Amino acid sequence: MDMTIATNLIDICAVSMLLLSVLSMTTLRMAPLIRLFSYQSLALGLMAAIVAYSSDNPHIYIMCVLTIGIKTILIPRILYYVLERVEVNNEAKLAVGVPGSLILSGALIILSYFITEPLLATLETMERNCIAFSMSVVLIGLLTMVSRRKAISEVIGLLMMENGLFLGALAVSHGMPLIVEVAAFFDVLVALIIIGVFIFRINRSFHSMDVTNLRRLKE
Amino acid sequence: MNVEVAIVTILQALVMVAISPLMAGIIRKMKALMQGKVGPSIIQPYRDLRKLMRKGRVAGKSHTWLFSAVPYLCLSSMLILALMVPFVYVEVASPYIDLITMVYLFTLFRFAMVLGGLEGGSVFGGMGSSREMMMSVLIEPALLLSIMSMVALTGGSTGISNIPDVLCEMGLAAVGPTLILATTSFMITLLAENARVPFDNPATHLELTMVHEAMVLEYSGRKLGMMELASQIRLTLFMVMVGTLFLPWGIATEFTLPALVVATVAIVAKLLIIAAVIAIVECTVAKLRLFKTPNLLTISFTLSLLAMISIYIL
Amino acid sequence: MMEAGFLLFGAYLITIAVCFFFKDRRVMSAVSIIAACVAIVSVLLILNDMRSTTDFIIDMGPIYIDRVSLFFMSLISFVALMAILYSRGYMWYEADEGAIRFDELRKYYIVINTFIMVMYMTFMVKSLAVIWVCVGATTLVSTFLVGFYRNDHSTEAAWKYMMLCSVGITIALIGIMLTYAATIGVIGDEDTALDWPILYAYAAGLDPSLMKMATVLVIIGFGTKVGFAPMHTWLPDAHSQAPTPVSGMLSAVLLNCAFYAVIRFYMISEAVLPGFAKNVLLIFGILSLFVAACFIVVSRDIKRMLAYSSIENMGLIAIGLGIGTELAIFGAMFQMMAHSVTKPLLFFSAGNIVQQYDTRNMQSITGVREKMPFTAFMMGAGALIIVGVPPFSVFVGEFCIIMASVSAGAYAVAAISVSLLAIVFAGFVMHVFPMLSGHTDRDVSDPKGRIRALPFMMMFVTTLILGLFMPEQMSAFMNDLASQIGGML
Repeated sequence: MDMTIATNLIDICAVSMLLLSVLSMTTLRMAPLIRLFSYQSLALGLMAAIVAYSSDNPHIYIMCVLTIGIKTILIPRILYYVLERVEVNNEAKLAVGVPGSLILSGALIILSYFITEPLLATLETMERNCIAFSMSVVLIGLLTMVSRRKAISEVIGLLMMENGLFLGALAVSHGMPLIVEVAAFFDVLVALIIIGVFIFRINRSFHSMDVTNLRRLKE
Repeated sequence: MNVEVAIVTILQALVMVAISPLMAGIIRKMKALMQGKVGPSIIQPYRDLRKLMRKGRVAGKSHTWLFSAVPYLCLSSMLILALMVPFVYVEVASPYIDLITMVYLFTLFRFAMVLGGLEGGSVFGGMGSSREMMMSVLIEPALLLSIMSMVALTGGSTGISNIPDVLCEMGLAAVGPTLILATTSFMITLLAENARVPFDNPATHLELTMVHEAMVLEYSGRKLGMMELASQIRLTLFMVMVGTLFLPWGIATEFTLPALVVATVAIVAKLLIIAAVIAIVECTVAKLRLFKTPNLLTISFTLSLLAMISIYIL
Repeated sequence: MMEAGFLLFGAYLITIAVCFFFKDRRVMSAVSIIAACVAIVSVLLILNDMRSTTDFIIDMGPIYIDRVSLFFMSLISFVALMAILYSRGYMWYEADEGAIRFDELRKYYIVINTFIMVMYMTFMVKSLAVIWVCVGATTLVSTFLVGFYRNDHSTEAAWKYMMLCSVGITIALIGIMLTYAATIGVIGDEDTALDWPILYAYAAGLDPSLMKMATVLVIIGFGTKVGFAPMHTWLPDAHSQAPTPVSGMLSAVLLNCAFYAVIRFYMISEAVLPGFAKNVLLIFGILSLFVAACFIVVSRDIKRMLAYSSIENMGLIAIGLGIGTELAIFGAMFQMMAHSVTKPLLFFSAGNIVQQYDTRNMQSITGVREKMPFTAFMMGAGALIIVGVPPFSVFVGEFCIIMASVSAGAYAVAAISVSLLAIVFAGFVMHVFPMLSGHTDRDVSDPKGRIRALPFMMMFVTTLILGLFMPEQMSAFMNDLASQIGGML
């Protein structure tokens, strides 16, 4: 494949991942949020495929398959399953309003650009520029976790952070050793199942998914 | 500046002005077809304009000269803009202008229209004006940023013909995140600027929802016709800008007959595609609640910000 | 070595299987105790094997054990036995009272044994990435233990624990990813790039700017699980809501587990950028000490107070590593050992009290000495030991760290630490002793049974001995450990 096209496609995937993260800050309902996460994982999977193809590194295909299989299909299924069985009113409560969180995300993107800039000179991969996007996706995921008060949106924030992490791994070193990647996926999946169990419990205890209820433990 | 460029510039400006009502008609027709209706003929806007131009004028008592001046201001700013936007040939004849002037001519149009809405003295006019200003606070930075990111992508000159020229030269290398994000952002601002569906509904006069229609409510007869025409030109200009500044492939970079023919075919095709996109959006998306519009506009702003940032990151 | 490893994991796997199939709680408890004892034996076997090697390292396949690993393994083997012994009394009492059902008791035994096994694995693996996987797995397993009681509060604690630690783990993985990027730049081999011996051998040649960022991310990430302020907020909740034997385990070994990963990165980072990781740890250490001191004074809940005391101790250990001289690292490791031995004693005494009084609010508990003399003695002794009254073990660690910071010229650090430790001392005395003294009309008594008293005696004696004198070989081991961590070996 022509290198320019490959680079552009990789850039497009990386930017669309960031874009989906930013869009998730504007989404108030849970089901579209899950869908955004699923698209983001799809972008990650496609990016892995392009990297695998252009750098001729077949083990990245495994990552592609795992990403699409687990994160694009399986995890959203589980989340929809959870969503269907808990609280009816599923609009997210915001600690920060939509425009505010968008501006914050913009600030985080610029911040991550400055954080990662010194690293660029030391890396050799073609996709190293995406490390700034990766850091932004991670930070915006963190922001989602902090500013959204629903259990599911917290989970989505965490999962998006993980996506950002894998984007970074692709960008700086063409992925990590296979065992780590597989273990990390497994970790995510198990964590998600446990989280699902606890979301049911939260829903039963507090009759909502609102994690602002979880503020009773203090001095 | 040579004579051919001047002639082309004037000619293409005339063409753009002439096809503006047609574009409005085409979009209306496409919408109607998609909704399974027959719809008015695509030349209906011309008939409406002719009818309006012939009619007499009714005006309230509280108007001043400003109220009558506004339609002229609006129409003339759009006519000047028509001279500035490349249509089939990359170069335009106006030497003193750049993209920033262009953005501010659009702003002048909006400013005049807001004043007109207020001058009308009716409740709705004021309401429409205040809504318009609320949205413009967000539209303007998004518009500027999306154009500016194209400037940054193509090497930093704010001259208008620079962008399509460089983009055509870059070819596929230009199809990166910046272009996509900036184009998407610009499309959203296009809908917002021209009072299209998720922001405003051009087809109704429901007082709860209207923004643009509220501002021109007090106008009648020839003045209303001028306002309508100015709005139609604005829509066409935005569509042409998408076709020549953001996706310029096909535009004539050299002054030869075959290139110009190709460019004409290309721009017509692009305009039809953009019209179809607008029609699809208008058919599938519901109008947003007024207080939700800032969210969408902030998305557009973020997109253009992202477009800008990704130039520097990548 | 192979036999010891098989023995250890075999024992735990069999235990988990037995707990799964046998429905008798006596069997489950007995098998768990036996497994814990077998684990101690296999740690000793490993120690024996290591002494026969020249450089005190076992390196075979994916297994890698050196002094640091062995130190942590011996701590966990001790604490695991204590916790399992204590569980027999505590959890059976809960079951008899009807607080938990039988199948929950069974789940408890299965999960806690899995938890212990995963923690052993953390210390024995070679690749840093696998260490990460194991630390992540400890979170997943122990979430069920934190949320064991299924009420509002424990659900909340488990949720916070899960969420915060998952975020921490993710951030740590970014750090590991950057380390990997730096290493393959030097080594070029992708499969072994994160293996500890290789990584450590090539550490000095790694790229500093990548490693700087990796160090910060790893310390923040694993530090979340260690309980460094300001990422500590899960810790008091989880410790106070978990069943008491689990609280002891969380405090005394789970935090160590995450600290182990921090220490490994500390060693690499110090080889690349001398002084950088030290400063980061110093900042987190002082911050944690400060936060813990403040909250110990204001806390009302006895288990939360003990949890804050764990944060304080972890902060102090971080300060020791941050000073980074051999004496300071020795102090830090000694502190870690003393804390691991003493903190379960406190938690278990608190567990006895809470079980009898049915409240965790220290202001509504009085007269423990009158009605529960044994528990009161252990609680009082534990409190005095943990705040660093001489000549007990924690004092030795604290003394070493503070002396080291004075002799390293970090007078400000020494002064801040001493004054914060004084606040902690005051807080403990203020809260614990009124609880022990006085008079109560409530019908409470020391829990019966020798097996319930046994872990208290063992821990008390151990911590006493550690403070008073140390065997020659052990002090040699600790000195070597300190110089290995300090990169001076």
